[in-house]
Amino acid sequence: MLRKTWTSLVWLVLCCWSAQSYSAAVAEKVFADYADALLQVKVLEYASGAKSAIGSGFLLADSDLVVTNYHVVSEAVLFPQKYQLEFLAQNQQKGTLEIVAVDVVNDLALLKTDYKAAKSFQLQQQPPVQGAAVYSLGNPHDLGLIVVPGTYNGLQKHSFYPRIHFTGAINSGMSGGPAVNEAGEVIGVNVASAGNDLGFLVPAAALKTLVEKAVVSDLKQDIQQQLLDNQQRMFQQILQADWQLKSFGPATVPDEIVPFIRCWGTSNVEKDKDDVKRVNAFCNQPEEIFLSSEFSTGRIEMQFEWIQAKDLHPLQFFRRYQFSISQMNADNRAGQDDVTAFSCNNQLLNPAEGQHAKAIFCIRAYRNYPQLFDVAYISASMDHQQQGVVSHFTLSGVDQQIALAFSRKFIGAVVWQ
Amino acid sequence: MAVIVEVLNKQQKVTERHKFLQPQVNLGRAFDNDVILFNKHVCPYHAVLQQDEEGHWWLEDLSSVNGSFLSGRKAVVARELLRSGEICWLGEQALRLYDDAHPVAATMPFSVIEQRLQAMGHWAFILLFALILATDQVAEIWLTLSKQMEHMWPARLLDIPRSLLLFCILPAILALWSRFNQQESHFMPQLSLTYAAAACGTLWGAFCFWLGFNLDGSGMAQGVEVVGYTLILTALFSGNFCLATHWSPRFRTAVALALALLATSGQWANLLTPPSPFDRSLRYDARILPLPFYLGQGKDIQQYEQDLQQLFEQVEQKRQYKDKQ
Repeated sequence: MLRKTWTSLVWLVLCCWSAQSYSAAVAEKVFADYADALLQVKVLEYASGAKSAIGSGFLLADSDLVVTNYHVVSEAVLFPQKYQLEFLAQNQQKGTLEIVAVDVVNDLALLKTDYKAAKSFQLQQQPPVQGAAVYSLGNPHDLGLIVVPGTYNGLQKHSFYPRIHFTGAINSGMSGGPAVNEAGEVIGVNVASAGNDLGFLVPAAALKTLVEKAVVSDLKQDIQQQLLDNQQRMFQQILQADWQLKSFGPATVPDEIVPFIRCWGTSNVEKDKDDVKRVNAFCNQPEEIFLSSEFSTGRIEMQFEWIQAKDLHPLQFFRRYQFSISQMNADNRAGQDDVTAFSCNNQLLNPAEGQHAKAIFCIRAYRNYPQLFDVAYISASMDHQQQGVVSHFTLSGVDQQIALAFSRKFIGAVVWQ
Repeated sequence: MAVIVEVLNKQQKVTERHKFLQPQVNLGRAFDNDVILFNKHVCPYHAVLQQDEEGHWWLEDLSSVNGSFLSGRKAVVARELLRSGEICWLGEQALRLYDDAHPVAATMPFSVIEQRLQAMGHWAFILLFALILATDQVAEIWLTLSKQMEHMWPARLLDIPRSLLLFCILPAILALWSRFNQQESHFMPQLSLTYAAAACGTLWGAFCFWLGFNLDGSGMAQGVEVVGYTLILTALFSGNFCLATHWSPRFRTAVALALALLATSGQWANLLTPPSPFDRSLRYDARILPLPFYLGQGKDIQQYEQDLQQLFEQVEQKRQYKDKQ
């Protein structure tokens, strides 16, 4: 019996050791085979000659294009007069890069180069199986090219954008590097990390679509079209969905209306001392589309607050209620050159027969991407003297038609029972 | 013909007035002079005023240490002619000479406004305005103090006498100013006026809160509010100056308006400057009252959407306008 246990233990240790050494050997081979096709991408400022951003990139077979993340090269896309792109190969060869196409939604960029590698990367045609070994390549923190072994864990759940969940450490500077299988075929592009060995990859399919796309003349106009199409797709799902409503105090409010919108809640019910009871619910689609270092878009947020007073005069209650609707903020970052200032409409509204609410609707326009707006809405129900429901949403990067359709559906969904 | 000699202080306000019938007037610090001066830079026998046959007055310097001067710092070498109403200096002591035929300013009739303002100094008015102010502050505490903070009531109530005392600063300064100008101090009327303006301000604030809520926070309501505050302050300062100075109505109104605009400049700036895109917090009017305070009907969803469409058009125009610039 004892002997048997020992034997199995020895087997176990041997297996583990060999698995580890196997993985290391594959990583070494992948790295040796493809080191040539891995590049460091640098964004250089013309004026100072210094680098303002670095990332990783890789050479794609057949097309001879370099792939990297849009967020690595965004400055060069938006300000071509101010920045230029340069690559540094493993053999210290340098050269310039030229932007061919970008996909801001999937954070990808294709760059033209005259650099040739002995062996360049192929895309994997079939998605890998859950648990398959994946090797992420890149140049973290400008420390030199490295390979990080990890596991493929399928597509990220609750995400509108397809993203591969990669269990392995992706660090800053590895953005734009490839993640490959044992045969060296690209299954995705490093894009983001959530810390603690939790990384995300853009699937190879998105890259394939971008490579096959026709060449565009005006990159900014193309970006605008991508944003318009993306919000159209996202809100089509949201508007067509049969909204799940949940009861929220005396009213109903929208819940997790689509899989990529998640909700949370808090309250101060246990704090008996407070003279108003506050219950909060919060839903959002947190994934942003990176446009520049100070401009992001694509988030959706909804927030509800049920406020109930205990023995307060209506005037006292409404003073507290006013505070709840007085501090609305924009949900996304934007600079002065990116957007106009917010303009607001302030109106007493009858959302349904016999119901009244104070509604504030604010929008700002995107300066460089016509037809796109950020929207912020807050309303406070006014039909009761001692309690009320505040409902709030922000949308970023939507067109007028979608903003109005969403508002209509949202206002219709928040009703007193 | 008699001569009137006025002794002036540094601000050229009259401190003494002498009338002489003789043709020679001795000026100096010595006690046997006709006009005995205090200033230490004046000599015991500093100068003499003399009348010639034609009735003109001449200032003669008696070789004084610090000299005598006419207007424009013109030194008196031997003797100089002095016109009626002209100022001369013995050292740094200013004197003014008048002959008795010199015209005087017209009699100022009692001003109705000034009389009314003085009548406001009655303690009953002061009490009334102070009560309005105190009530407003009590109401504010009652509206905002939460249950957990109930123990703060006495401390918050103690703020009321303090703020009422703070309102005394302006009348006190004005009263002192009047005294310096050798006029009635009018402290009580000034105090009453200040309390009245403060009470008007709070009532106006409450009215504008209601108005803003009813007009759905329109820019017009905000404009009316700031204009109202400016007018209240203009009236206050104008009344203050009426009691404290002898300025002409037009001049004191102009100064009062300028001061009021200065005092409300923050609100004006807030009203007139466009919002900045850097502001992450949005600028809108969140004022809300219970539904019975709203006189209008409210809009239904269809009308609301039309409004929102207009908003989109406006913002799009703003975007294009900035692009052109």
